[in-house]
Amino acid sequence: MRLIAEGVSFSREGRVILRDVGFRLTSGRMLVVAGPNGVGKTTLIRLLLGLLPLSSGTIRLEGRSLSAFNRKELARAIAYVPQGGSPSFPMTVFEAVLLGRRPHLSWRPGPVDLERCAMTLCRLGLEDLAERDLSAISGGQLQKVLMARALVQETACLVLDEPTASLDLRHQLEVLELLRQLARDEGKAVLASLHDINLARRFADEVLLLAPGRVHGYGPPETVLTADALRHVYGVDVRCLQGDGMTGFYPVGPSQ
Amino acid sequence: MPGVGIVLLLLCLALVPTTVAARQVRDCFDRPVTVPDQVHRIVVLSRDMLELVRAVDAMPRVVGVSDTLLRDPAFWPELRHIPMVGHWSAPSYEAIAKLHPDLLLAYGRYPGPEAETKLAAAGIPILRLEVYMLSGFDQAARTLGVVLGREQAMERLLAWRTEKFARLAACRARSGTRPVVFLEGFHDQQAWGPGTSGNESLGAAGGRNLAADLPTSYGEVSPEWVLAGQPDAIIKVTSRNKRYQATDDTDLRAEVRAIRERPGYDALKAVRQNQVFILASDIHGGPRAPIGAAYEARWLHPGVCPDIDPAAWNREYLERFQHMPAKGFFAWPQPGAEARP
Amino acid sequence: MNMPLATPGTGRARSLALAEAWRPVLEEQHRNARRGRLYLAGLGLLAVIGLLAGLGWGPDGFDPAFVVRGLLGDGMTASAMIRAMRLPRLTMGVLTGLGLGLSGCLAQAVLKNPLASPFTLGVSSGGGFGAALAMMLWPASHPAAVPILAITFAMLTAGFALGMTRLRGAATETLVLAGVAVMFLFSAMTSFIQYMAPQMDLSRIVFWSFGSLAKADWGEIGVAALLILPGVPWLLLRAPDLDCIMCGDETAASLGVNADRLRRTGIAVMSVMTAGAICFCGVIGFIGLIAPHMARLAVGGRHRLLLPASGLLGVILVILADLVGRAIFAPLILPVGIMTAFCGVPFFFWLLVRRCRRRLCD
Repeated sequence: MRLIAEGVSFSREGRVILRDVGFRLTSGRMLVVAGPNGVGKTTLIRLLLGLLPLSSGTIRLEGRSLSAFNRKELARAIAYVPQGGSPSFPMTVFEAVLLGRRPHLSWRPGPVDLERCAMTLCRLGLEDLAERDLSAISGGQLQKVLMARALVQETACLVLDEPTASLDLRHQLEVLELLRQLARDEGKAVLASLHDINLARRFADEVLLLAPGRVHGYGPPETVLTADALRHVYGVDVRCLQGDGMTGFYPVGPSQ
Repeated sequence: MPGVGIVLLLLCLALVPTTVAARQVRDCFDRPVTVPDQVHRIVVLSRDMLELVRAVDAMPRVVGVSDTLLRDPAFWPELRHIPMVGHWSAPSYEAIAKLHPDLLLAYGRYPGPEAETKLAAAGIPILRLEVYMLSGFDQAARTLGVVLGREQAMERLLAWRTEKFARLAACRARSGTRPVVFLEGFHDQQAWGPGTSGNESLGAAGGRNLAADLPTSYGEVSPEWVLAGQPDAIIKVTSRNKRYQATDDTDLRAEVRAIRERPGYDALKAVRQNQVFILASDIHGGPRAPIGAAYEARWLHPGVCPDIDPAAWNREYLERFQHMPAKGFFAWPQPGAEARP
Repeated sequence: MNMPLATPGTGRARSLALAEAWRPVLEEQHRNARRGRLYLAGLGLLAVIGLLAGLGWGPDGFDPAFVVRGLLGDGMTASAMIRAMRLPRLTMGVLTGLGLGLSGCLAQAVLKNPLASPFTLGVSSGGGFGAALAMMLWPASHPAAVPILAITFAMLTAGFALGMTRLRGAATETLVLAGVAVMFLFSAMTSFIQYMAPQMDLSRIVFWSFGSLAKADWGEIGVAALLILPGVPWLLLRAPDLDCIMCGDETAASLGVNADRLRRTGIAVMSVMTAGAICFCGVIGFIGLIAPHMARLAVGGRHRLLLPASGLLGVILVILADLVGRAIFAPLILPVGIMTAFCGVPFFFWLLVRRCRRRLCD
């Protein structure tokens, strides 16, 4: 599965949000989109899902332009995991996950659909919560439920918007480990936007670093996420700390 | 010296304070109301009251009316240049006050009790009278006659009505039967219960009201109950306005046809025997109550009381008491005429 | 028990371990599905019982033998009373309850608001204004004018709501607010007509706003059925999509559902159904709001079961309200639109209390 973006630009009401963004998303690899708040990470994701029209540039999935796909075909190719948020309607965890089968459903859920949902719930450790209402579970569990929904959609590509935004330390690691597993072991193409640069450095295969109105860098995390780049993009002085084969960034303070 | 005496006498006379003569009458709630002795300017809100005013030749005293009365110029040509003071249920008190009337004639419950206080500030009394029901009509009419100084003319109208009701009583006695009637009001399946003018009218006409024991005065009744009761006749009182200008009775017949065609009504003996009748609210209750009751009597006791001629009574009322040429279509079928709608 | 995600060991061992765990989950789902179907069947049974009760009750109380005679056409009075009066009344009640229950469920899904009802977008106020206008213009002639104008103005308000959806950036809150504004506008216009109407016609207009099943004859039932029934198969087919739009337009789009188009068609279908339900019977309130919530308690939130359950509950509530309205002060008939609130509110409070007991409510 190959998704290639070239020269993607998007403007709204005269304001340029994205300019000349290009990247490649391939099976088995995880691409992390990083950048400060409001730089356009969510906009880029919306463009990928076909929710917004491109101002210019192309996005091709398996050689076909994204706009040539109808909604159902796209749903079978790309799955979306939104930010947690608060569910507005009463629904059990199982029902929420079952929604992910919509692109494959005829009219009623068949035994295959129910099986996949049950298996995925167990895989993510949510089997005890299957009958709980969405409003009665924690933020970390909710994020996992949303991921389960995307998984049962059985797509080749997974797009996640800030999956670790409101999670505690352990859940952050669990989610990213799962994503890595999905990419490496199951060959999915994963694109996730992250605000935590340490997690980005640790888990990404490629990083797309966005600055306001431009792309600051695209490539392996070691080359893109440098102290210099972070100073330019985030306006923060960082120290790169290394030891025991682990690398981390310590934010010293806002740069002058 | 006699000149000085005359001047002094004139001065004394001039200094005697003049008092406005007033009298006390009772309104429909039996409350005392003080009205001036001489009432020359009146504002009238209700149509029945206006008919009574015209019946005693007091129309020139009307200086203001409610808006609905102005929508019927064919029946009220005298009102052509009379201003309107607003809706009968909530008139404009300023408009009334601007006309400097001596009296406001109003319904019992409309406008609300605030009217007394607002108009009292302008020194205008309100006289509330209800003339819709048979009981209480005579007393209210007499009160109006006294207030307008037209007692004798009012007595003539009351005598006319009494004579007509006496004939209806004689008809009842002669007939001996009391057919059961489903009396329908202004909208479908609305029945007249106890304490209504419809109930009284049927009583005067010698009929029995199917809904005489209804728990409320007005209410929608189920058609099954009507069918179970199998009334001998169905009489509809319609609210259509402007029957006076009507050129024919096709719409009255259409209403009767619509009643006969209601689902399930073909099983009613009243429908199968062509005993469905209709009369307009103009001749039902109020000053013309005897006319409506007369139609009902002729329909319910056919052939028994040929001396009761509702059309003639209507003509007489219009010409004699309303000074209007007799015309209009107020009921169908006319007694003695064909009964197919 | 949280299974560690990065489980060491062979893939086979892991899948075996998983197989142990998901089977009970699956079985619970099957149990739920069975229970949901059972409740649905139970509601169907209740609806049938309600229908039989409504059919069996007459001005003289319960008399099933009389009803059977009437249905068979034995005796002129019996057959007129049952076939021409009672049966049409109940049939219209069934159609109206079905239409309002389904529309209410649809409204809550499309507007993403648990307080939404078929009347939120102002359809009932538009219809009420059309009816009042017809009653004022043609007080005794052209009785067909009332339903025709009621439908016309109901569709007009629906069209206005649809027009609002075309505005870019119009979220569902905008729709709801626009609907409320339209409702106030038409209510005011109806009140204006009431104010200007002659004393006699006033009560007729007011009575229309109470709702009544009395006007049912087979022709009108046919028209109402034409407006209400065609939407039903569409609704059932679209049930999974309705589930999706509850999670937000973006999520729905990612699942292959065009939320905008579904919303627009949903509003159109809902408006036609509601117009059909009220144009002959007047405004029967509360059903559209309460039936979906009661249904959700019984069969859960999935629209495949929720929609038919809402429809059935609508039928049950209308028939029950009609029966009570006929029986309490017989032979007087209390308008069904008033009785639905009286019958519905105690249900509603019971529902709320139960919901609060089940989980902590704030």
